[in-house]
Amino acid sequence: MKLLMLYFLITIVHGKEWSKKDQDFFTMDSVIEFDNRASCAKKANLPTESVFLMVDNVNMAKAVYRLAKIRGLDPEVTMNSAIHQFNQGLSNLVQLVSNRLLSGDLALIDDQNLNEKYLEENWIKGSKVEFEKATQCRIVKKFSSLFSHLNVTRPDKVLIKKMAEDLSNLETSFKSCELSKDDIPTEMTLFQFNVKFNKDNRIDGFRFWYSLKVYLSWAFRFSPEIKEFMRPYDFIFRNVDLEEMILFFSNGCKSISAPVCSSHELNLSQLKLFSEDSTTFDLSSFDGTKPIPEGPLSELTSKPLPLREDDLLNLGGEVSASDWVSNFRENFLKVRGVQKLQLTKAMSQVFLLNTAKTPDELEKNISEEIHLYGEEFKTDLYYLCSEYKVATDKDLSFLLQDLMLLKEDQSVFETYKEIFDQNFKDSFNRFQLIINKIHHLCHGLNEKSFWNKFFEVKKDGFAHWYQQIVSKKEKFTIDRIVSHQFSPLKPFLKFKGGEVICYSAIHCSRILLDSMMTLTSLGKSMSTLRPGKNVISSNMSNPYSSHMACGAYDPWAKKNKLLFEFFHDLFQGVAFGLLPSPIYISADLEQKKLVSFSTLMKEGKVFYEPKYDPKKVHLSLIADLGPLTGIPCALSISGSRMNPLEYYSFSGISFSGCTQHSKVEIEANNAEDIRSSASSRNYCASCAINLQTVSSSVSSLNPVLRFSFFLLKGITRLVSNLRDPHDLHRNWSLSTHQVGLSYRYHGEISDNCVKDLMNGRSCIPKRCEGKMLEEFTKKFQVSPVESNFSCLTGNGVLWVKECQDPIYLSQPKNLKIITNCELQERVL
Amino acid sequence: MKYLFLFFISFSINIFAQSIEITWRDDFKKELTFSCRASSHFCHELCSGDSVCYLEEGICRSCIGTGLKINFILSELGRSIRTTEEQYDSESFISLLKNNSFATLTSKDPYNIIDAFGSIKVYKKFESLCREGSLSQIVFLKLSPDDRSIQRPELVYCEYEDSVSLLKIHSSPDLEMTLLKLAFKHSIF
Repeated sequence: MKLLMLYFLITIVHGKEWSKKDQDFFTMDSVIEFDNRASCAKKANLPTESVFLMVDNVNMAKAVYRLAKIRGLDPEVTMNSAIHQFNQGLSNLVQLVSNRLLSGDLALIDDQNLNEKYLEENWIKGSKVEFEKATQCRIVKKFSSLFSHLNVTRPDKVLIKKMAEDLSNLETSFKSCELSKDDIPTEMTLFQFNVKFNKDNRIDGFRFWYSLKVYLSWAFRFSPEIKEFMRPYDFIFRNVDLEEMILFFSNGCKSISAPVCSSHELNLSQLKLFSEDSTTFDLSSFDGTKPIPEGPLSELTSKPLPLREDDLLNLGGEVSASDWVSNFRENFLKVRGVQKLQLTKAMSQVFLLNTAKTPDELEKNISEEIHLYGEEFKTDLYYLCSEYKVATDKDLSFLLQDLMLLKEDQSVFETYKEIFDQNFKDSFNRFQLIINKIHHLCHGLNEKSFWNKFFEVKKDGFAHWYQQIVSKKEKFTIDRIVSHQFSPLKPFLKFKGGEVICYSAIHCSRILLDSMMTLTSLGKSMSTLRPGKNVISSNMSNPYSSHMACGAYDPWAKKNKLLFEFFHDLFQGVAFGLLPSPIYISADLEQKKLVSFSTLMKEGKVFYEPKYDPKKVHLSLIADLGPLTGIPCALSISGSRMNPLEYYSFSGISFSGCTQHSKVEIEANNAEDIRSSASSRNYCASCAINLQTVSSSVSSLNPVLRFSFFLLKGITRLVSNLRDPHDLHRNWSLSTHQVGLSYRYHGEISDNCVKDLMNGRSCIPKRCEGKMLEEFTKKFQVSPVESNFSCLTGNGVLWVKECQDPIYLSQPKNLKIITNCELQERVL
Repeated sequence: MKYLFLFFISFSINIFAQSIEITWRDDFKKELTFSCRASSHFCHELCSGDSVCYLEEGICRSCIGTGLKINFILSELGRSIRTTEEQYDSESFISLLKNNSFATLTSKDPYNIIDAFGSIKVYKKFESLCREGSLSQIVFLKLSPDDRSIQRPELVYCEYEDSVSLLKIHSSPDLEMTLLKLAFKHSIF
C-alpha cells in the first residue's frame, strides 16, 4: 500500500487547481436530448423514459379542511399536514408501482376491460418480492435551463453555460421527493419520474406506462401499502377522485402512449393550449367551448407546423413550476367547468324530454300548436324548421355525420348510463323519429307557403350552433339558452313547483336538437371531461405528436426528396455525358398532400383516417434547340399539374423561351453586360444562371465535363438541402454530469468545450482523467478542488473540498480508489 | 290519512332503530353508530343483539371531487333526485349495511366540496328529502361492490324528535305538463 502511494507521488508532480473550488459540487446524472422538428416528430413513436406528474392538491385539501372543522381541529394545520402526506404518499406509490413493473414482479397489462379482482391478484403475487429502486423521483421547482430541451432545438455555448450554473444551484430547480416537515405545502405539485428501459428488463414502454396508470388507480384505493404511505389520512384520501386531480405528461419528444389519430388522443394532446397565460386566456373564444368546435384536426391542416422555439408549453423565462401548473390548472378548470355544465344540462334535457313525451305525442302537440296558434308561433316554427333542416342537411354532411356518430359514441353512452341509468341509444332512436316527424311537419308548412317571401326573423333567435354555422358568428356566451318568441300563459313542461324546462312543444323540440348538438361537440372532449377509471396522460410536450399520428407531417419526407433529387442529378449527369443531343429530362417529386380526414367509429371510439393527394412525380422533357437552330428556344413536354390523377403525364406541349424555367431574376439591361448581340444575349443571361437552361452551353463541352457539370450541380443542391435545420433529423445529447464537471474544472464553457460535450465527452484535457473523474464523482458526494493525472500510467490524485487527504485513483480495468477519506455515496 | 300513513311508517322503523349517527374518528375514519332496541330484528341482525353497535364505513371511490356523477347528485338532490312517501324496505337496508356497499352523505360532509361548507342552501336540499321537522338527514348512496364507485342514491334516513324513517330515493323528475288547450284557457277567457 505504502509502495503504491509512493509510486503515485513519484509519478504525479503538480496538481491543477479547479476553478469553482469554493462551491459544493452538485450534479445530476441525466442525458438531455435536444431534437429538431423532424427528429422530435420521429421520436413520438418511441416510449418515453421520463414523465411529469402534475398534482392538483386543491380538492383533497378542501375535504381535509372541512373534516378538520367537523372534528374541531385547526383546519390550516391539518390541511398543510395532509397536503404534505398526500404528496409524499403519492410519490411513494408511483415509485412502488413503477419499480414492481420494472422488476417484472407486477405483470404488464394491455387489456382495456380489467376488473378489480384481476389487478388485486396480480398485486398480491408480486408483493413479497424484493425489488430494486429503479425509479428516480424529483419535485420540479423551476423550469430552468435544465428543461430547455422542451423549447430549444440545439444547445449553444450560452445555454450550456447556463445549464452548468443551474447545475451548481440544483436546489433551485429540484427538490427531493423525500419531503421534510419544513417544506411549505403548495396547491399544485409537479413531480418528475425517470425510469430506464434496458435490454435486461425487455419492457414495452407504452405498455409500461399504461400499466402504471391502471395499477396506480387501483393501488391508490385498495393496496395495503397505501394505508402505510398516507397514514393517518389514508381513508379520506382514498375517497378522492384521483383521476381528476392528476395528469401525466411526457418530458421531451418521446411519448407516454403510442400516437394514434383518434379523438381521444387528439383531445389529450390539445391540453397544451392550457399553458397559455390565464390572464389573457379567453374562454369564450376557446375552440372547445364553441357550439361547434373546429377540433384539433383543423389545426393539423390549417396551421403551419410549429418550431420547438415556438415554446407551445410557455416554459420560457425560467417560470416557477408551481406557477406554471397553477396557470395550467386555472385554464383547464375554466374550460372543464363550462363543458361539464353544458354536458350535464344537455344530458338532463334529453333525459327529461324523453321521460315526458313520446315522439308521437310531441308531434301531436306541435300540430296542435300550429293548428290553434300558428300565427303566434310563426317565428318559433321558422327557427324549428331551419334548425332541423340544417342539422340534417346532406350538404352540411359534417354536422349530420357527427350527429349520427353520437349514437355509437361509447363515452357518451357510458356517461348517460352512469348519471341517469338509461340507455342513450334508446333516447337517440327517439330523437331520430322526432327528426323525421318534424321534417314532415315543416315540409307541409312549406307546401302551404306558411312563411311568405317577406317574412323576416332575427338572426340571434336561432340556436347558438346554427348562428355559428349559418351566420358565421364567432363569439358566444357560455350559457346555451334556446330562446323562444311566443310563450303561452302556462309553460308546456316544468318541474313540479320548480323551473320551466320548455315553453311549448316547438320550444321543447328545439331544445332537444340543441342538446344533441351539444353532446356531439362535447363527445370529442370526453377523455378529459370524464376520465373515469383512467388516469389521464398526454404527449403534449411533443408539438408534432398529433401531426405524426394523423399523417399531417412526415419527418422522412425531406430526406426522401433530397435523395431523390441527388440521384436524379446523377442520372442526368450520366445521361447528359453519354447523349450527344441537349435533351434534359426533369423529374420533380411532389410529396403527398393531406387534404381531409374520414371519420371511423371503432368499438365506440372515434378515429380519423387521413386522405391524401397522392405522391406525384412530375416529368418533363426539354429539348434545347438553341445550339442547333441559333434561336434561344426550347421545346418542352411536361406533366400538367392541372390533372392530379395522372402521375406520369405528357399532356402539354409548349414552345417557350429559355427563361421560362428560370427562378432567378437577373438584371441585365444592355448587351455589353454579357455579349455583343443585344437581345439574345440578354435573354440567355438568365440561362447561364439556371442550371437547366445552361445545358445548351454545356452540351458543347466534352462528355466528361458535361458529366462533371451535372455532378457538381447535384452536389451543390445536396449540400444546400442538407443545411435544412428543421426537416432533416438532427439531435444532440448532453450529459448533465459532464457539463457540471467541465464547468467546475474550467470555470467557463469554451467553444471547444461545447464540441466535446456534444460529442459525449467532458472537456477535461486528459481523456483518462475525464473518464476517471466522471465515474468517481458520479458515485461519491465530493467537490473536487485539485487534480493531477497521468494517462501514461493511468493513475491520478484528487483533492476534494470535503477531505484534507488526497484520493488516489487508477483505472487498469475498473476504477481503483485509495484514500483515508470517508466517502459518502451520491444520491443523484 | 297521509299523516296517519307516515306515522305508521315511522313507528314501524322505530322498532328496529332509534337512531343512526355519523362520526369521524380520531384516525379520520367514518363510522356509523346505531342505537336500537336489543330485542329488535335490526339489533339482532346488525348488532348481534346489543343495543349499540358501530360500523366503519368503507371508501367511496371518487366521492371527493367534481366528477359528473357526484356533481349531478349534489346539484339534483331535492330536485330530480327526490323522495316520495314510499318507504325503503328494512331487509334491503340491513343487507346494504351488512355488505358495506354504501356511502353516506350529510348536509355537512367533507365529501361535498362543490357547495359552500355548512350553507343553508345545502341544508335545505337535504331537509327537502324528509318530511317537515326532521332533525337529521343521511343520504345512503349505493356503491358498486366491485370498485366502490357510486351507483345511485338509494335511500334517505330521516330523524325526527320522536321517530325515524327510511325513504326510498327516486331518480326521476317530478314533471308538470300542461296541455296547450289548458295553457291558453286563461289567455282566452
